[in-house]
Order: sequence, then C-alpha cells, then structure tokens
Amino acid sequence: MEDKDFLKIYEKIVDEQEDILQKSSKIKQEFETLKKDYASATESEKQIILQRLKTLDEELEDLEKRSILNSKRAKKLKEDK
Amino acid sequence: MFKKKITNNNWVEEDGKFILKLPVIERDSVQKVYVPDGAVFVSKYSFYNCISLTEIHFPKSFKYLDGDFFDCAVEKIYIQNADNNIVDYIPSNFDFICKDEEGFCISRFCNNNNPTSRFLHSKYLLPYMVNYWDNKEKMSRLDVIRYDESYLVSYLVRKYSDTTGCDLVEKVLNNNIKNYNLLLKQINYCISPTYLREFARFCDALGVFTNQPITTQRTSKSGKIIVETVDYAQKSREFIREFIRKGTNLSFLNSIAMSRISGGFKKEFADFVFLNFPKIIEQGPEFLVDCYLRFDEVQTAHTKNKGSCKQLAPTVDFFVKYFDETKFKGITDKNRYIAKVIGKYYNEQYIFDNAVSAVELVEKNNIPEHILNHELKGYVDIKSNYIDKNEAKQPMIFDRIKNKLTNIAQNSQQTLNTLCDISNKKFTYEFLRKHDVVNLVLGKLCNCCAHLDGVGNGIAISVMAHPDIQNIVVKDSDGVIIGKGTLYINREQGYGVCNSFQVSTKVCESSSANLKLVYKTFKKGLIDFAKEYNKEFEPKLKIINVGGSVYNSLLYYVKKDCEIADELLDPIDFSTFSFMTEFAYDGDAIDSQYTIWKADEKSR
Repeated sequence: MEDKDFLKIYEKIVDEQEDILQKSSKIKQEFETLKKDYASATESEKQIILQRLKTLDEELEDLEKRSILNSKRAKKLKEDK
Repeated sequence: MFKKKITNNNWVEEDGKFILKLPVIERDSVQKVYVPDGAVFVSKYSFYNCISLTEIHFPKSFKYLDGDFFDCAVEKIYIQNADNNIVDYIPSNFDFICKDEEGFCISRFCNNNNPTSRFLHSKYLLPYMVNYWDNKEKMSRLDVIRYDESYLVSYLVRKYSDTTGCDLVEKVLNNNIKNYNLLLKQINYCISPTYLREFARFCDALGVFTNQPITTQRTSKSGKIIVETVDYAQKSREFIREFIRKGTNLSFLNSIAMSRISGGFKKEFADFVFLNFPKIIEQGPEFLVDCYLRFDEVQTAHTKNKGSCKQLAPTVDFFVKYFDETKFKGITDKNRYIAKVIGKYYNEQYIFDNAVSAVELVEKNNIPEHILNHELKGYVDIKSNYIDKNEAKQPMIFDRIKNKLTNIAQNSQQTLNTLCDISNKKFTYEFLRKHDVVNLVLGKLCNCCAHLDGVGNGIAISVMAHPDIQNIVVKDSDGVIIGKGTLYINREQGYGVCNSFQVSTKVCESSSANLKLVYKTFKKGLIDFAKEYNKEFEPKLKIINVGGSVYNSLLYYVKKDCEIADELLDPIDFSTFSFMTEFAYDGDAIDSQYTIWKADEKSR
C-alpha cells in the first residue's frame, strides 16, 4: 500500500473513531440525565423518557456497529501495513 | 430533510440510502439477498451479521455501497451494469465472470454449468468485459493475453483505471502490450516470469506505459515560464533499445527483483536517465540499477549545503561520487566508518577532515554516549481513557443502553490500541548516540543548516564537544531520520532548551496529520527524557523550552500546544563550537522560546 493511501485510510479511521466517541459521549450524558429524571418522573413523563431512550438505543446500535467496523478496519490496516 | 419509506420486503430507504432491516437473529440464516429495483445507494449494514450470505443480487440501478461487504462469506455477486464504482466492492479473489438471464455473475469459483464462464484477469477489467461482453472482436483481445502478460494488464488497468476506464483497457491492449512486446523482442523473450515482472516494473518507472506525452511547466531563474512536453513512452523505448543493444546482461533485473522498491512511473528518475542517456550507458547496468534502486536515497543527500539545504537536480557525477567509497584521502580502518557516512553527503576533503576532528573531540573531551545513563527511544502512545468501567446495573432499556455504551467503549479502545500500534510504527523518537557520525549530517536529512558544511555546523559539532548536548531524532516507519532537535541541559540550574524542531521538507509537504504526529513524537521524547533524567540526577529538571524562531519546522504546533516562555532560559551559544572562522549560527532559541514541559510542583 502506498504511503499516501495508508495515511488517507488511517486518517479516515481516526476521524470515524473521533465521531463515534463524540456521539457516544453525548448520548451517555443524555442517558445519565434521563436515568436520574426517570426515578422521579410521572407516568406520562416516564413514557416520554422511555420513548427517547428507545431512540437513543437505536442510535447506539448504529454507533456500536460503526465501532465494530472501525475496529476491524483498523486491524485490517495494521495487517496490510 | 430526513425521508424514510418502506420498500419491498425488509428494505427501508432512508434519505436515498437503502438498508436491509432485519433483526440480528434472522440475519444469521439469510443466504440470498435481493436488493430492490431502483436502489442506487446501498448501506453496508445491510449485510451486517449475515454470516451465511452467499449471493447478493444488485439491480441495474445500483451504483454505490458505502463500504466493503461486512461479516459475510459472499461467493457470488450479481450485477447488471459495471459502473467503475462497483469494481471497488468486488473482492479481489473473485476470479470468474459469467452471464445469465439475470445479468452478470462475478464469483470466487468457476461456474462449470454456465458455458459463458470466463476468467476475470483482473477485477479492474470488469467494466470492459461487461460493456463489450457481446462484442466478439473486443473480447477476443482478452483471450490473447498470455499468462505472463495478465500481470501487466492488471497492473496497468488498476493503475490508470480511475481516470480513463474502458478506453484505457483498449490502450493497454493495443499499445502497451504492443510496446511491451516490442521491448521483449529486444531481449528475445528469453527471461523468466520473475524477470518479466521486474522488466515491466523497470519499464514502468521509465514511463513506457504512459499513455500520452506529459507537459510540465517551470519558471527559469530569469522568471521566464518554460513549458516542456516529453513523450516518456517513446523516450524510454529508445533508451531500453539502446541499453540492450549495448549487450547488457539482463541479470541486472535480478537486483531489481531482490529489491522491495515500489513500482510506478518515476518521472524524476526517467528525466535523469534520458538527460544523461550516454553517460549512464557508459557507466553500465549496475550503475543504472543502483540509480534506480537508490534514487530517492541519493537525492536526499543531494542538496545545497547552504541555507535550508534545497534539493538539487540529479547528476551522474553526484551519483558516481555517492557510490564511490574511496574519494577521500587519509581513510584508515579507524575512520572508514566516518568516510562512509560523510561521503554520502559531501565530496570535499576538508569536510571529511572536519568530521574526523569532530569525532576526535569525543575522546578528547571524554564525552559520554548519552546525557542520561542509558539510551532512550519511544513513540507516541495515543491510547486514551475512554472506557468507563464503573457502571451500576440498570433494568431493561437502561441496561441495554449501558451495555451498548460499554461495547462501544471497548471497541473504541481496541481501535485506539490498533491505531496506536500502527502509529508506533509510523514515527519513533530516539536520542541519537552522541558518538554517532550521523550527528554531523542531520541537517542534510532534515533540510536545515545543522550539518558540517552549513552555517549551523556548530550545532552539529556541539553534540560531540559538549557532554550535555544531545540530538533527539524522529524516524519514520522505515527507520529513516526525518526530524531532529538539539537538546541542551543546564544541570546546575535544572532546565533544558531544545534548539528547535527541524523536519525534512518531504514530511513537511506530506500532510498535516503527519506533521502533527511528528510534533507529538518529539514532545513525548522530551517528556520521557525529563522523567528519566529526574530519576537519575539531582538537581532535577524543572522545565524544558523549545526555540520559537521561524526556522522551527513545527512552530505552528508548538505555538498551538505550548505556552510562550515569559522568561527566556539561557540557551547555549552554538557558534562557539563551529569550525567556521566567519559567520556561524548561534541557534534558534535566542529570541523566543515556548515551554514544552514543566515539572509539577509536587515532583520538584
């Protein structure tokens, strides 16, 4: 693999990793807040929180897949090097 | 605006991207997947976890997949067009293609039941084969590709595929194969497959396979714009013909085969060869091979001695002298190693004499090998503390989210570890042994004046003359020095001043990510040094500053990362070590400094 190609892929993986970490950290923050609020929420509030948690769960599923893929990509890059 | 609609079966279209939505548990058993008609852009996650998937059928509309097939053992891919983009998703071990009523099927294995099944010389020939499948004349051209030529065809089509597509295949088959065979005729075809490959590689370096003349523009010293057009294919054919007519023994290809030099057209090398055609032929094939294999290495050394060591155009004389190990007078068994290092960069006797004198200072001043009591090497560790281990158990969806966050954190950690491993190999720092002759030529490697014939020769010599000055160098993945900094330690007052960071022009021009990593590597090296020093010596180091002159190649990152020093630490005057009687440079930390490391109060 040419050096510039290697670097391009490397940078892409780093960018993707940063994006995953940034997004998951945001979700984590929101999750912590929701978790706290849930304990003292009313029934209808709880429904809204649960709905929101479902959305976060879906977003996390995507992030989880992306993190697996990125990890594999990094391993592949290491092998190709 | 986010748009979502449900298409047939389990496919969902989101903002124009198609994705197969199936629960993970159902994915395991999927064997065939049909992407719906009209799908242009398909998400890579469609095939996620489909471990039993063997066939994917793409519709005519399909153009893009946003990644590779993932986690599945696909054996057959059905396509109905062969857009250049599609080629990227075909795994390289798909060697066969056939056509049936559904379209083209590319597969890992030959389909014996289908009489149209053909060998796919290269996946990059796919657009050509699909477009001309029914054109017997065009397809018959592929049939005449000999086994030994298929390497060449794949190589060329791959190399140039992104620009010219099918036309290129025509050109490769019509012209390049012809060119190549014409050249092979010169050597009577009597070479082994390995030699054939190396011959192709060597021809390619000279430009035999360039498709059209190349026009370049440069500005002369007087400011006049000079436009030149060179037909490298024509020139290289002439050269090789002449080269072979001189009775050249083809064993020179063996040396090329032994090398691990990467292929491709090397314009600078080709220009050098054509410009010096008779002189090179006169020197013989071994010289040519040396020039080919060591072109970049020699050119790294072939710079002006003054200023920032500007690159010079290659000349046969310089190459001849570079390879000559006996050009200096007074070489003895004791100093031969000095001649070997110095001889790569200089031809002048006085420089060799100065180098010998500098090395003698080591003995005379009883200079140790390192400032520390041991050698120090390392790399940037980019691992981060992303894992959150202390999560309490939560019910239901809370639990699920928590698990996912943990999984993401773990995967991220793995990725970071891997990236770390990769980057470790990318740049490493090392405190160069103070006795190493390379200290005297570092400026040549890093495009700065700190070398025996530069104004900064005092910086180069100081390492061998003073016990508390040492060079920290950064090496690339091949172990080549690409950056240097000269560190002076004031033991009594407990501080260090690194003159500046000098990085080779090549790396400076490569990418900001590279430069940033080089900076981090330097910083890591200096921090490690300070920690080790403070374990070994008293008084401890309190601070290390780095010179902030405009000559610092990494000034941008230094300024971004470090605080400007309010009070300048007293740097060493490097001009006192110079062999030059006239102007000698005093250093880069005289007028401006930035603090790159400071001991925290507790550790002082």
